[in-house]
Amino acid sequence: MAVRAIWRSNKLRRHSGSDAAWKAGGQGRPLQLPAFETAVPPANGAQHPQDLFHARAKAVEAWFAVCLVVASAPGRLFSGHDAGLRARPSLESVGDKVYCLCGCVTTLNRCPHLPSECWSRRQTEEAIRTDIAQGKDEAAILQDLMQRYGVQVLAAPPVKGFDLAAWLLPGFGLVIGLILVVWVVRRWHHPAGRPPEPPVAVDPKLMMAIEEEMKTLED
Amino acid sequence: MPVVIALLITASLLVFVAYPLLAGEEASAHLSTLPVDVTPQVDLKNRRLVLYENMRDLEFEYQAGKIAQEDYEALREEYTAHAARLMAASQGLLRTSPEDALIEQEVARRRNRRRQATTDYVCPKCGYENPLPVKFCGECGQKLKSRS
Amino acid sequence: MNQLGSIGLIAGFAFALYGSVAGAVGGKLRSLRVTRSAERAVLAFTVMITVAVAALEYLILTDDFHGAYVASHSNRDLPLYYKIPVLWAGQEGSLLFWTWLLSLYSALVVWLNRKKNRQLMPYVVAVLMGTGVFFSLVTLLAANPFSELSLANGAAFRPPDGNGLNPALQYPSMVIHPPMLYLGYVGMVVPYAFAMAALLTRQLGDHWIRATRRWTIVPWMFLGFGICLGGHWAYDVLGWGGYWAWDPVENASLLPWLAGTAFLHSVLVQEKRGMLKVWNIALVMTTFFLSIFGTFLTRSGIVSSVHAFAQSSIGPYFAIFLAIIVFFSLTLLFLRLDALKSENRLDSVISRESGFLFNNWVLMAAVFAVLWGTVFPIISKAVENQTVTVGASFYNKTTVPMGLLLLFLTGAGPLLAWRKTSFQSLKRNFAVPLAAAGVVGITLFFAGIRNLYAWMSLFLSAFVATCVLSEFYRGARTRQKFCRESFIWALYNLTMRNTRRYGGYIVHLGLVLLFVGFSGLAFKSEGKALMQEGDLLRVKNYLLRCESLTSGDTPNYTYLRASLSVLKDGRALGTVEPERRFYKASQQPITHVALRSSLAEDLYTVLAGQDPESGKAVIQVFVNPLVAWVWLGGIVMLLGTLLVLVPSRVDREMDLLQAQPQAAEETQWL
Repeated sequence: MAVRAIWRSNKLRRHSGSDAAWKAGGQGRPLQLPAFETAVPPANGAQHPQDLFHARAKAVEAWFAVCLVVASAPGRLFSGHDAGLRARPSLESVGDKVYCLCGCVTTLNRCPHLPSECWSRRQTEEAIRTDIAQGKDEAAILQDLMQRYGVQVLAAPPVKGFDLAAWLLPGFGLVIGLILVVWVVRRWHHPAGRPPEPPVAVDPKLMMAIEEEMKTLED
Repeated sequence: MPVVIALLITASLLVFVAYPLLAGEEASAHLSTLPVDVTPQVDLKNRRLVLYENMRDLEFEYQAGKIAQEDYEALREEYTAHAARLMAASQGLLRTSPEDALIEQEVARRRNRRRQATTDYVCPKCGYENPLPVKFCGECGQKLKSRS
Repeated sequence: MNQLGSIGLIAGFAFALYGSVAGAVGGKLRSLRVTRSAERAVLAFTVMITVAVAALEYLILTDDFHGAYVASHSNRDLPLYYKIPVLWAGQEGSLLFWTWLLSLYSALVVWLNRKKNRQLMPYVVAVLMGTGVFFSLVTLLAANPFSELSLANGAAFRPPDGNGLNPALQYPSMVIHPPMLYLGYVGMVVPYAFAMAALLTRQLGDHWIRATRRWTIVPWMFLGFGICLGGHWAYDVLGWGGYWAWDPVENASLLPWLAGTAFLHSVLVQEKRGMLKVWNIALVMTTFFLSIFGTFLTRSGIVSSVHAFAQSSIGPYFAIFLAIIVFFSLTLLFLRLDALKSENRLDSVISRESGFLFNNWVLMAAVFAVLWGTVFPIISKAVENQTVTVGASFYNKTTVPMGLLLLFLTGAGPLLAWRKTSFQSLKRNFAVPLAAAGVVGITLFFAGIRNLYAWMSLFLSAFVATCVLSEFYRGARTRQKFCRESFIWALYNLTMRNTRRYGGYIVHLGLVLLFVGFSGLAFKSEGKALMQEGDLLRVKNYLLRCESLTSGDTPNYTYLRASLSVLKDGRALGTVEPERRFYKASQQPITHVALRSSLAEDLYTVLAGQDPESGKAVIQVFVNPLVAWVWLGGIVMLLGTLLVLVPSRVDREMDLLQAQPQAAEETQWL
């Protein structure tokens, strides 16, 4: 696992390499890239004070690239939640993605009835078993069940057509919300008119009254 | 039998509900209107209390090492100035009317007469809408034009 | 007794109608007399609805099966402690119960505000009673619990025994779960009423916010606790090994809780800084709308759900009421927009204020996602004319990332100072929690945790826990330094002085425990077998042996019980005894789960049924890691909320101020 992880992060690093090197990699020649190439400053970079800003920008860029690598690493190091799709399907794994149509309004696995007392569960499970025996993968099994019983048999809307909206809108909501928040923050941050008031010397009498009043809050 | 009990309860509740409408004892003018929720003094004091609590928090977070010194000083100065403005407004209110409570009642009565009153006490300087007719702005201490 | 109940309901409706009209008139005329009469009408409403509730309880307890409601939801052999909850077991009774709780809340509001908020109160009464009018009307017209059974020829009909209480509801946490949940739903009407009154009277300062603070926290607490109890019930009774199924009814309770959480946070920004005024009012409206919408969704039968009540005609009533709420709220908000200007501006992008904005962003996005998922089947039906199912996998994909983001903000938010936080202090504040989380994260990774969501959840939990604990630690140390107190005493004083902040932190700790519990979901294992005496079943490192299968009989139900002895890693853990019961009155079977719970994991055994051919028992076994943390988290959140309700130093000062000016104006009451 660890070896594969390192190999994968190497592969990732290729993306941050130069264009030529990338093409070279594409032609199948062995890659000889220094690690974290982008983090190395240009030859005449940071030495001059006036270039400090540029050096900083470069450093930020490099940091960003490293962050990207780190951020995308988990997806490679961890077995994602969709790993189930690739594994061999079982009655249990499919049963979680399919609804029982007997009226219990739950997935096949959670139907409170026994297969012997629930027609829907019995039929659907039988269909899944047959499909598994035929060596179909999960997507094919789900497709098959959908043709047989209609869309309602799927535990989640299909990712196509109008039902795509079900999947996309929550994401849109999140993004639009973020845009709104950023807009509000920016607007508040740069208010039109009303410059910040200059600090004024506070009348000592008032100050005394304030301190007196603050004492009531002491414990 | 239960029906009779239910009707009796209903009837007595009817009397209970209608009583304030029929009893004439409170017909005198100022008691028959609703008293105000927040007097200007209390409003100012509340706002100061919030500021004091903010200042305490600031002090505390600074001592706990959560805030940088320059931020701390700048914010502290701003909070103090704000509290001073509120305090000035409060004292201005006191000077103009030593018998605070009486005035307040008067003010409440006037306010009830003239619905648009609130909009007349928008401070021309800072735009703060004072909750009640005042002579000085509750936000910045600016003298407001007096109306009778 | 049925007539008594009906009279109570009708008179209650009449008083509510009068109260709402008199409240509005009293507010408009600013008349103390009319307002007082309206307030008295609230008490009269409460008395009459209480009479109706008492009448129904009496009918239930005396097994009077004349009434359709009692006949279809109770039976003679039901034990007393399950007869009382029959009141809220069905559509009609639960609507009456809703109305009753509303009346109790309203009476409490009127009583506690008898000397305060005199300008707001008439409108508050008007809105409360407006809601009361709606609920008593629906109960009267569409779901009357006092309607009587009759034969075709019109003669009264009295069946010898009732159909019995749904066996799934015959469970201890189900007795208190609905009242808690309803107290949450109904209570949201109070902050809404105050917000409306503030808009109507143009008293849009912080006053209404302060007046309703506790009125928001209390229902929020009940709602959260009710949701937890519901989860606990589902876990213990439904027998599929989980506590949350993203069922529409569950979603309906989650929605107002999420919106309420957003409100509780953003309200702080208004109190401290005078910002977000419009947003706060909008959030109160949203929360109230969602709690009514949730009731509508689950009662009208427009979405299918495990919990669905019988289909009935109450849908259109609710739709009209919801439309009125939306129209009334938005119009009023729009008319007062000019008076809701922000008093301050944002000093810095990195500040507590913007932290709260991001918190609101995630919470409202979650509300949107859950709402969208819940109503999507209706939309799809309308657009495509096909029934789609939106199940758990949809919600897991959409809301889990939001949940993790929220968890991160839970820890990060309190590290930001109000107004501005320099990069320097940001680094200093984040260093320790990030380091701690890093250590935990790396340890977990090498311990073999490869599920991304579970890993992130545990990583962030460590981050947030460290953040919260370091807040307590640093606060107490600082206090210790200045007040020369012992550490424990300093910790106590620190908390009691600002209960809202530190109680809030404890609620955050509870949330962390919840998420630790949620991460356990990734590591479930299960097994299933047909068993009879002597059979073995191995699940993970547990070995179960069936010792006996016994059947028995009680007045209320018959049962089949399996006695399973448990070995864990070869060590004996005693026996567990899952049951399958068959309730006689309702002719329904139900499983009774047997649990062996520990902080690390639960052994969850279900007797799913009996194989008709071999007579063997179908035994299902789940090993659910970390589930106990969810219940623990719920309890910690409850305790934290109770702490928040304790008045802090400045609250007491303000309460004192509030009481003073009106002392002379003491209203004469009774």
